[in-house]
Amino acid sequence: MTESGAREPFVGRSIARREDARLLTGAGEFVDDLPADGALHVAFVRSPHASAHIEAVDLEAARALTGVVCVVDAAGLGLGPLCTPVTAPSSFSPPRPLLADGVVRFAGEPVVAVVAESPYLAEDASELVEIEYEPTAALSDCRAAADLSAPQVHDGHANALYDVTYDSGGVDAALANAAVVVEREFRHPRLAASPIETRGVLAQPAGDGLQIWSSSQVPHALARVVASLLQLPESTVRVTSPDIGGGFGVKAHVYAEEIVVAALALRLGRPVKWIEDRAENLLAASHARDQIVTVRAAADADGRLLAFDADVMCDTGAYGVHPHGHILEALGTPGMLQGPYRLPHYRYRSRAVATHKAPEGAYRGVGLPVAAFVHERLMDILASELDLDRAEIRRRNLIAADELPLTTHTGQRYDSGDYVAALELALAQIDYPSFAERRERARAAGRLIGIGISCYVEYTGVNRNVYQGRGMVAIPGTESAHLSLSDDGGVSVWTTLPAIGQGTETTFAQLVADELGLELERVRVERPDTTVGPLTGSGTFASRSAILGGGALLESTRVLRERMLEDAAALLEADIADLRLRDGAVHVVGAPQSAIDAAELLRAAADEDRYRISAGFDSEGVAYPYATHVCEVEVDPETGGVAITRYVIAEDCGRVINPQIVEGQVAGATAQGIGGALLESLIYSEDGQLITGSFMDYLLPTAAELPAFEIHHLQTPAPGNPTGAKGVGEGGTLAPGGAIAGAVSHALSAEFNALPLLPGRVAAAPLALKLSGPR
Amino acid sequence: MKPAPFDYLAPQSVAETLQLLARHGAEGKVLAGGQSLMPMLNFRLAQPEAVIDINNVAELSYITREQGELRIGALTRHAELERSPIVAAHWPLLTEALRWLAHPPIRNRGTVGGSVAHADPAAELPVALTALDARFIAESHRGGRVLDPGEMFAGPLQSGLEPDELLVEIRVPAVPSPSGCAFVEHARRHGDFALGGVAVVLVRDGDRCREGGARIVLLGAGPGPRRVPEAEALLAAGPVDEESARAAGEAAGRAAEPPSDPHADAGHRRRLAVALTRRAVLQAWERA
Repeated sequence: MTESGAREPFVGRSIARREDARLLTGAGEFVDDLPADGALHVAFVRSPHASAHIEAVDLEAARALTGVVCVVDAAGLGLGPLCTPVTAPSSFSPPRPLLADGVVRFAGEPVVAVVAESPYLAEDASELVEIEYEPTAALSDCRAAADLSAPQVHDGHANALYDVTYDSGGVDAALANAAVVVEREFRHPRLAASPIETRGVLAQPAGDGLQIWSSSQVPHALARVVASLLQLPESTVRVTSPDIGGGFGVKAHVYAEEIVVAALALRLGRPVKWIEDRAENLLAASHARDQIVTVRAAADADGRLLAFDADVMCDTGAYGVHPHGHILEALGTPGMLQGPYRLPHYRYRSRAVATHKAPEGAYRGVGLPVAAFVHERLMDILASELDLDRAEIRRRNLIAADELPLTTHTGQRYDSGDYVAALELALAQIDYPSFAERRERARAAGRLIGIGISCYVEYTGVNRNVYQGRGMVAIPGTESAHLSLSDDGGVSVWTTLPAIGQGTETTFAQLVADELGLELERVRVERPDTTVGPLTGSGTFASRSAILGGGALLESTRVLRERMLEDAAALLEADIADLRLRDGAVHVVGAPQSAIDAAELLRAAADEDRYRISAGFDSEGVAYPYATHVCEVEVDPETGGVAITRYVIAEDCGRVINPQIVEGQVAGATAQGIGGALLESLIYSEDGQLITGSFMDYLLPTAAELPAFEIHHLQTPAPGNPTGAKGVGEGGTLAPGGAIAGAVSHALSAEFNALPLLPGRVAAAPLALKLSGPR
Repeated sequence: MKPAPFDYLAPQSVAETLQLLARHGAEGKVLAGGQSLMPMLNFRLAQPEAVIDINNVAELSYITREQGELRIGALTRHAELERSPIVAAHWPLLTEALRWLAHPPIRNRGTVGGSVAHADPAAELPVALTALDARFIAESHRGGRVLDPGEMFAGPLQSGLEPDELLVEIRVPAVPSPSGCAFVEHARRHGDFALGGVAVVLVRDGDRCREGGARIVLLGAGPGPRRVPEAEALLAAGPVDEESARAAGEAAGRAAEPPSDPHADAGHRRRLAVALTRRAVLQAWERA
C-alpha cells in the first residue's frame, strides 16, 4: 500500500493517540470552552408530567426578571415540528414539536425556552414560568401500550408505530417435530449512553446565516435540519465540531434543543448557548434498549437449532429520533437474533411501541446487544434441556468458516472470518476444560463460581443501500473526505466524521501518511466543518469511521497521489513508473537529486483546486465483526453480589489500523456492556416518572467493578471495503449480557433471563440450592 | 444544576459562626465539606438564604485523645480520621467504617461533623458512632449541650440540632478490652450508599460478651442507626459461636425496617441485615 519502501507502515502499529496530550491535560476545546463573548444562555422548562394537556402558559414573571432576554413557548417560537421521513412498511414516524405544543408526551419534554445573561439567571427565571397542565393517563408499560384499546400517544395512530412480521416458512413443522422446544421471555432494561460530556450547543449569527458548534456526532445532518426548519439556504448554515467528550450514539441525533438554540441566536442576533446538565441528559436525551423479547426455540436431539419463533417488543418512547426515526431497535434486534448460528427456519413479529417515556435512539450496539443476549441465553437453555455442554452446543451451531459468505433470513450477508476459531481461542485462554473441576472444588469450600460464554456477530459500517432499504431515507449512508496539500508537503484532512473519543485524529493520519509516504506529523486531521469542500456525510455512528471515513480518505489520497505524480512527471519529463512520493515530494527512483517538492507542484498547478480534493465514499458491503467473550464470576448467595474474576475476549475486527486503539474500544464497549448486565437501568414509575434520574441511582460501572480484560485477536480483512476494517466501536457491548447472565446462572444452577442482575434477584435464586454450608 | 441565589458568609471563628446562625436560623445552612449540601443546592432541593461556610474555622479541626476519650473536631476531614494512628489503635471500628465511606476524593473533602449533622440513615459514621456510644457537643449563642446518639440521629436527614446550633465536637469513649469490632456492608458498587450494613462492638468476658458489652447497630434499616437490643442481649446470655451469631442475625432481620427502592426491596435488605450481622458478629468475636 505504501509508496515508501524504506519506512515501516504506520497502519498496524500502536501509534500513541495524538489527541491525548491535549485531552488529558485539560487543553481540549469542548463546546463550553469555546470563546463566546456576550453569549446568552438557555434553560429549558421541561414537563413534570409524562402525559398532559397544556392548559395555559404564563411567561410574564419570568420575562420580568432582570437579566432575562427572551422567553418562548411553542407559539412564540413559531417553528414547525422536526419531521423524520421513514419509509419502512407498517410505520408511522411521528413529528416532534421543538417545544411541546398543547400536549406533552414524556416527563422532561421541553415546553418553554428561557434565554438570559447567565445560566444561573436562566434557571432562576425557569422557576418563574407558570404552566397549567391537565394530566392524562400515562403509558409507561409497552405491553399495555401495544394493546389497541390503550390511549394513543399520538392521536389517530396505534401505539405500535412500527409493526412487521417475517416468516421463512417451516417454523410450525419444525416446532412440532423438534426433540426440544423451549419458550422464554427475555427482558433488557432501558439504558442511557452517559457520555462524560453532556449535550451542548453554541450558535451565533454569521453573515446571512448561522455558525453552530455542537457536541454532535452528526454535524452535517444538523446543518441540513437547521437550514430546512429556519428556511435558510444550506450554504449559510455552518456546523463545526469542537472536541467531543464521548457520544456512544446519544449524540448521533439532531435534537429539538439544538434547533431551538439556533433559532434563538438568529432571532436575537447574538450568540446563544445551551450546555445540558446531567439531570437533563438522563431525563431527556435519547435512551436505548428497553425490550421484551419472547422466543420459542426448537432444536434437534443433538442440539442443532431448527427454528426461532420470536416476538420482539421495543419500548420506543414518545417520539423517534432524527435522522434514524423510531425503528432502530425494532429493526436491529430481529435482524440479528439468529446471531452467528445456522438457523433453518425463522419467524418473527417486531414492534416499536410508543409510550410516555423519553424517545429511544442509538446507543453503542443499537438493538444487537439485546439480540445477542437472547441468542446466547437460548444456547445455554437448550444445552441445559439436552444435557449438553454449553461450549459444545455452540460448536455444533456456529456457522463454519467455509460457509462464509452466507446470507441470513434477514438479508445480512455475513462476510468473512472464523466464528469457531474465536470460540476455541477464548475457551483455551480461560482453560475451559478445567472449570467443572474448579467449580466443584469451590462448592465444596462453600463458594459459588460459574463460567459464561457469549458469541456474536454484528453489522457495522452500514452503507447507503442498507439505510435506503431499511426506510431510513434521511440518512445518506455515505461519507466524504477533503484533502488539501500545503507548501511544506503536508496535508490537511477533513472528514464528515467527528472524533468522539475513538482516536480518529490518529488512525486517519496513519492511513493518509502511509498512502502519501508522509511522516505522521505532516498530516493534520482537522475537525469536521460543513463548509469545507462540497462534503456530505452521515456522521460518526454504526462503527463506520474506519470503514467509510477510511474509504473516503483512501479515495481522496489516491487522487492526490495521482495528480502529484502526473504533474511531477510532466515537470521532470520522467515516466510515472519511475516516480515515488516521499516526505511530501516526488522523487525519481535511482536519482536522489531529482525531486520536485509540494511548493513547486502547487506553483505549477493549472488551477488552485488541483490539490484540494474531495471524495465521497460508499462501501460495497456492510462488514461483520465477531467475537467470543468468556467470563468467570463468583456469586455471594446471601448478598447477591457478583464479582467478575476473569474476562477473556477473542475478537476479529478485520484489518487493524492501531492495535492499542482497538483494545481501548473493545475494553470500553465491554465495560458498558457489563454496566447493562449488572448495574444500569432507567426505571420509570407507573405514572411515567423517571425515578433513576441521577448518577446516585443510575449506576455506571467504575474501575472497582470491572475485571482486567484479556483481549485476543483474529484478523480477517473485511472483503467489502478498501481498508479491510470491520469496525470495532460497538462490538464489546454485545456479549457481556449473555456471558454474565450465563455465568451467574451457572454458579447458582439457576436461570436468569432479565437484566440487570439485581442483587435481590440473584440472592433469591439460591433458596432452592442445597449448599454444603453457609459461607 | 445551578443553585438559586444565596448570601455567602465565611466566618473565621466558632463565635462568629454562632452569631451568624443566631441571625439566620433555619434560613442559614452550614457548609462544611459540601459533599451533600452542594448537590442539594445544585438540584435546588435546598434553597437557603445564606450559606455559612465554616471551612475557615480552623479551631474545629482536630483529633485528640484525652483521658482515654477520643475528641474529634467537627471540621475534621474523613480522610484525616481514616489515617489517624490514634483512631486506628483505639477505635479501629471508625477506621474500618471510613473505608466503606464513598471514595477518596469525597473523604478528602467530607467532614465528620457534616456526616453526623446530615444524619443520613444509610451513612457509615452515624452507625459506627452509635455503636461506640459517642456524644455530640452542640453550641449556640444560648450555650452548649451534649446529645447522645438517639438524640442526634432523630430521623432520616433530621439531626437533633436546633437551627441556631453548630455541632462542634464528637466524643467517643474508650472501648473496654478485651474487645473486637467489625463493620460490614453491601453496596451495588463500592462506595455507594449501602443496601445494608452493620457495626458490631463486642467486649469479651470468657466465651461470651460482658453484660451490656455488645453493641450491634444496623445501617439503612430505619429512620436512623438502628440498635438491635435483642441480639446484643443474647450474645451476653450465652457463648458467642456460629449458632448465636446466626440467632443475632435473625434478631437483626426482625429489628430492621428498611426501605424499598429500585436497587433492592425491603425483603432483600432485611435478608442482608440477617447475613451481614452474622458475619460481622463472627468477625468481631475473632478479633476480640
